[in-house]
Amino acid sequence: MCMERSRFPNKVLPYLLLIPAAVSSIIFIIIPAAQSLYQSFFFSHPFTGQMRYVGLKHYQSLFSDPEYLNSVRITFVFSAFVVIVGMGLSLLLSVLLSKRIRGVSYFQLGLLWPYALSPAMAATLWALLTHPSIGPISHFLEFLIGKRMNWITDAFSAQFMLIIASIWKNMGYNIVFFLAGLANIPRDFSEAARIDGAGPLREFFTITFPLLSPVTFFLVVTNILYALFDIFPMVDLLTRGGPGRSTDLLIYKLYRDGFLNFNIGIASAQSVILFVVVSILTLLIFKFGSSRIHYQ
Amino acid sequence: MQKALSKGSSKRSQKIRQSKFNWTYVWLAIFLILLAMPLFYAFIVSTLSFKSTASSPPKLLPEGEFLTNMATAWTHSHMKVLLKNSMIMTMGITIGKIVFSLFGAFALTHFGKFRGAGFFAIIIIISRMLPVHVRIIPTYELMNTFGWVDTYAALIFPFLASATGLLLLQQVFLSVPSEYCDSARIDGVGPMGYLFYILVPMTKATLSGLFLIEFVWAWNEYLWPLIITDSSRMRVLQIGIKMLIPADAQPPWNVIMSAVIIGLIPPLLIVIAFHDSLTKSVAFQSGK
Repeated sequence: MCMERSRFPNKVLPYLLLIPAAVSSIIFIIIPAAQSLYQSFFFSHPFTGQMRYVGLKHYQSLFSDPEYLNSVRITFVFSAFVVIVGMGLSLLLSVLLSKRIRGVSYFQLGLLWPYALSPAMAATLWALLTHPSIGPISHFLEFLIGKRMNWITDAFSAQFMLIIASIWKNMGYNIVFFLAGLANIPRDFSEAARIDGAGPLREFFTITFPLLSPVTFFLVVTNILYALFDIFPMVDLLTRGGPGRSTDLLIYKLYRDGFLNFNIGIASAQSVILFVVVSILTLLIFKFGSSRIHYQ
Repeated sequence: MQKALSKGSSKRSQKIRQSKFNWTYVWLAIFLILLAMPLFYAFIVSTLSFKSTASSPPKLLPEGEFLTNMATAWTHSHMKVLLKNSMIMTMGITIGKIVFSLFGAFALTHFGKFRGAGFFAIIIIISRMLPVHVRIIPTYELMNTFGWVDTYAALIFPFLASATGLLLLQQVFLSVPSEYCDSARIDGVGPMGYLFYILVPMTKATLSGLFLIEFVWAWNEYLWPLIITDSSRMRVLQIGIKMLIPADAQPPWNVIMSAVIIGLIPPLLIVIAFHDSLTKSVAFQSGK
């Protein structure tokens, strides 16, 4: 695009137009975030609200708290499963869905509908499906492996169920973006590969996957954000962090400390740590994403 | 060019299709059954009587209680209030976000360099890094100071700034050929006229994609309404579903599943209506 694009010679209007976005960003996003940072250096009394400066003590105690480290660990494992297994399956499905065959658009719609389903409703659905005594999936698994998975009492079952439900819920979203990416790959490339005698697997790994990397990268980041934050309703409705803190993901721990135990300082420190993680991810998007903007 | 390409390749794939049986269908069907199974089961349960929901092994065939359960879900959960609140919150956030991003993106792309543009750009990028979860406690305190706890304002305002929408629209606006702007100016069209009569219609696909993303996101938001509303008068649908599950008794799964089905309808309709334009707008975003 021409850099010297036409401009409206108006001096005041651009400021007026930016006011809503800028003011709402500052009041509702930037100031509260700064406050989070500030409060993380203070101990505030749960009932009187009195504040006492404690410096980095909250951060130190978090990183020596086995409960918090446990949350970090399971969040990491959880994210890894959501990204690797969830995106892998979604990519496989998207490649199938991008083939130009009759009726494929019905399959597309049939496979991406869980995108519309909220995490809270997905959690409700899975609570029933995997219910230890009346859930059809529990009965089917019992039939397969001869053992009943009870996620109310068994930590491994709870983690397993939460991961499966989260992956299932996010597949629709992944498919939407993978399909868009696949639609952008010129068909001549795969034609050329086929003429040169590359099989479908080789074609996928040498052509499709590398050309898809901007979308894949974008999805890696959004999937990590999903595993960090959007999973909250699943934990809150299904396991409440249990049994025995086995599903106490970082966002749930933050909620427990801030809104159930009123430990504002510790919760703020956790917010700040999450903010650092998100910032790194966002900067990666910008760095990587800048190549997507084309000025011709 | 693009058209010619796709025409050619569809001819080619036609040949492939004729030559052998297509296994893609089999795989797609298997995945479709696996992915759709939970919703299908929800439908079955929504037709069962309360007694049948407790049976073990579970019943896999529908019974005739669908309408009764729907009616119970509707009255028992105060569905009208839940739907109304969810709709007000969702439309408020979605429309507000789109208008704010539209104005912001237009200001940053169509007025040349103006003093402070860089400052605005930085504010926007920083906002992008701060999802509501990392600023949730001070935002709650802010709502408290404003006296907004348990109001629609608290459900809507903290979400109005949208870096995602602004950045997406900025990119799309830059791709509109500047001849449009030139000729509009020669014809004496002002900036706002150009925005609403030329830019908005031209970027309709992106705007509907954005509408879909923001609508589904806002409709499904859970943590913030959970914290900021406490009366049943202000409760949104996602929290209403949670309230249907009793802590200490056998949950009425048939009624709960009916409520889930009702709650899924609005975002599902939006997805069905706009998913094509979402694919297009994403294609736009990710470049070539």
